[in-house]
Amino acid sequence: MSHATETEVADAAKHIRSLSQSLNQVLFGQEELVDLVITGVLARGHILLEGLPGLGKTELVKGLSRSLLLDTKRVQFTPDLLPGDITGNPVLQEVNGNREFVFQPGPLFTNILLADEINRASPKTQSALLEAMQERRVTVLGKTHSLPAPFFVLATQNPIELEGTYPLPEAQLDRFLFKLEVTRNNVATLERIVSQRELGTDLAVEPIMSIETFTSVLDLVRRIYLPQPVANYIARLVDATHPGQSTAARGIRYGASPRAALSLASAAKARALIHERPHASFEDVRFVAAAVLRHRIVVEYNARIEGLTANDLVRSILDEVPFQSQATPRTMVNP
Amino acid sequence: MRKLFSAHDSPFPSSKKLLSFLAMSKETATQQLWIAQARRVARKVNFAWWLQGFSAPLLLTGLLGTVAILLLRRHDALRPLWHYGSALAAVLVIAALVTWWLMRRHFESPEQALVRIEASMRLRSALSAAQAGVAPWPALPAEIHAGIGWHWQRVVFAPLAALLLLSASFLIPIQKLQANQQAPDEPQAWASTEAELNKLDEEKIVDEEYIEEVRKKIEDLRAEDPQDWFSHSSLEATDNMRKEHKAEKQKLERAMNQAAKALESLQKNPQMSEPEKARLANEFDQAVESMKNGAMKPNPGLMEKLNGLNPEKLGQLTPEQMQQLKQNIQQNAEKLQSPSEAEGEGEGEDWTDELLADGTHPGDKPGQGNGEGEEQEGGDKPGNGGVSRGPGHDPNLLGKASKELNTGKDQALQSRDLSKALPGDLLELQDGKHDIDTSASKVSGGGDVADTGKGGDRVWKESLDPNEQKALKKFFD
Repeated sequence: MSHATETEVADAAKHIRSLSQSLNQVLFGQEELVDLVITGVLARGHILLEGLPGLGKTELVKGLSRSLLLDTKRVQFTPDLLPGDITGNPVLQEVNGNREFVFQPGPLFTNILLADEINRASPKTQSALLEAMQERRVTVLGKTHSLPAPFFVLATQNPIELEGTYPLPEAQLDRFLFKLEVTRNNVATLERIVSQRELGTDLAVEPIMSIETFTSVLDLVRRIYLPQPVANYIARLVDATHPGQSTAARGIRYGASPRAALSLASAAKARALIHERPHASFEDVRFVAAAVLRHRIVVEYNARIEGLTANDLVRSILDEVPFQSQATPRTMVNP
Repeated sequence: MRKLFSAHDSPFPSSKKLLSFLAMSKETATQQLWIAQARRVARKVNFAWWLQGFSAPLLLTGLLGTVAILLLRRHDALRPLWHYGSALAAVLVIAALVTWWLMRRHFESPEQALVRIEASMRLRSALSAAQAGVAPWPALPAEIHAGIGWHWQRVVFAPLAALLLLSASFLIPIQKLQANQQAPDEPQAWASTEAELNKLDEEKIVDEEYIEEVRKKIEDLRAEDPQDWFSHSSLEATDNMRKEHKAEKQKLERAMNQAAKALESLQKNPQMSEPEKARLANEFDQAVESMKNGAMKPNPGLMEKLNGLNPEKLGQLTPEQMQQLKQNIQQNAEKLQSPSEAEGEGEGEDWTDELLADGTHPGDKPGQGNGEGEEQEGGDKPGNGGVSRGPGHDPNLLGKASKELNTGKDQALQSRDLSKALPGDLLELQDGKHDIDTSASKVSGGGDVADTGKGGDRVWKESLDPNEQKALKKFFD
């Protein structure tokens, strides 16, 4: 596979810039969040958005689907939601005079699935998403059905009102490329929202690129060059999340998986493309590290008691692990 | 590099090719500059690694060199300075090579230095990508840095410490070792005993086996570490050896004298009664047996003669034979006496004996030695110190009490109740006079005030006891 050229990257970057501008019109004052969502989508990853109600999570997903002209379905996860409700069910139908079960695809068969309040569904239903997220296919009654490409799950969950919720299992969390925290808006942004939006009206979002263009951009991301020192940096970062491998990891009970390393590499490549570069860099890895790692490490009880969060620990690891793998001799200093 | 001209091309390159060639040349030049910078950084980092590894050997060399120079100075074996310089340089060169060999696993390649540069300058991996041919080499900035600098304290610590140590090794005052300090004098008792043994050996007075045995004991003591010659155990062994030797000598001498005396009695009174003869023969026999049984035996010639005699037939010897035998034994007995003992100037013996000696000892001998020992009572010469010097002591400490202490007379107390008596209860009696003020007195009229109470008159007359008054009077007189 040939590496992406500067010309290809420049062409793709134009589309991505337009997409970014469009989404920033949908969600005011959340440039970094928009940047990360685009990065996650370009890296073919699923994204878990965590934030209080009303911060615009659903609007962001809607805006993304309209910009990319992708099919979107929204499922409100509730405790009584069954796996078949999202994967689809075989229905007894008469076909050519014979009565047979015909598979009726569920809402999972779409390009972008907005799984609203995913932590309210039962573990049984949550686990129905596992195969879909990793293999991009579902198996019902022994028959496997492929999902349309591209396929993304953008799930949301509410950090409050945890009563009656089912925390996502680690295996499922690991399948999300990013866990993004949607924070509240500042006064200026709120003022802008109040001035330019009406309650209950849909936003008019212009389509940015066709599905073919989008697919070619996704392919281009894979051809972004990942230098060996950057790959080494990713490996050292992931290794440092394991207890005993770094000072910061003393507050971690379980570290990140190799899937986390792959996710880091993929996300770094996507970010390099966004920034119109044919190669990923240390800075790209550093930018996406928190979003990739924060939901993949299990924080030690003592660290929690001390008030440390996964974000704090990832930040400490990033400070601890230098870009270059070569150690610096004691007779030298880093000024 | 692509060829600028080809066989099918026109003699002049097209403008497109020319521009391409120029662009490529510029790209190559930039690449060379970046790689040169990377090499420079790699060299700097590798030198820093080498310095880090070299610090310990440098310190160690400095320390060992310091110890070596101090030892040489102590043994007064200093050599010219260039000798030290050469040796030091050789050691340092070897240490430097070994350090290089050990530290090279940490060394950086120029490619790794490129990563260091791009990480430090936030070039977003542009150099790695350019190295892989994915992106063009970025333009060379005005200043290139790899984000590293020297930690001067750590860099200079080891060389400075080694230099200070070596300088100190030349400057620290040190006492040189002297040859005579290495071999202390051996105890004098060994030499004196050996001299006695040599004399006994030369004059063939005693059996050689005994002499060899004592000599071996002395050699065993001498074979110990010279630092232990004057240890408690060594001196005790020496004393025991001398005492044994002296006792053996005296025993043999007594036996010889006894035998000679028995022979003399037989010789002087040949007409004595048979029981008397038998008693003398028995005495002679006991003396001979004593000579045989002792560790120190007479010389083999005399021993053979004595063994050949039958004590019961001693009376049958002719007067000449008896005279000859008696003289032979007496001569040996006299020779056994050391010259100093024979002349009454025996050497100082065991110091406790000397300390307790009352001065009436037949030896009446002064301390012998070479130091400042105190003269022993009864001797007429000052002591000379040395190992067996006369002891210096207070005359009242042990032995007789001095007669000049002006103390009272001691008189033993007789106790009627013996259960309450203690041994040595003494009563000291002293002759004295009443302390009477003999100063002149005058006649005074009745009612006169004898003392006007001036100054301290009342105090010294009424408050002080007679002795204090006497002392004051003596002082002011």
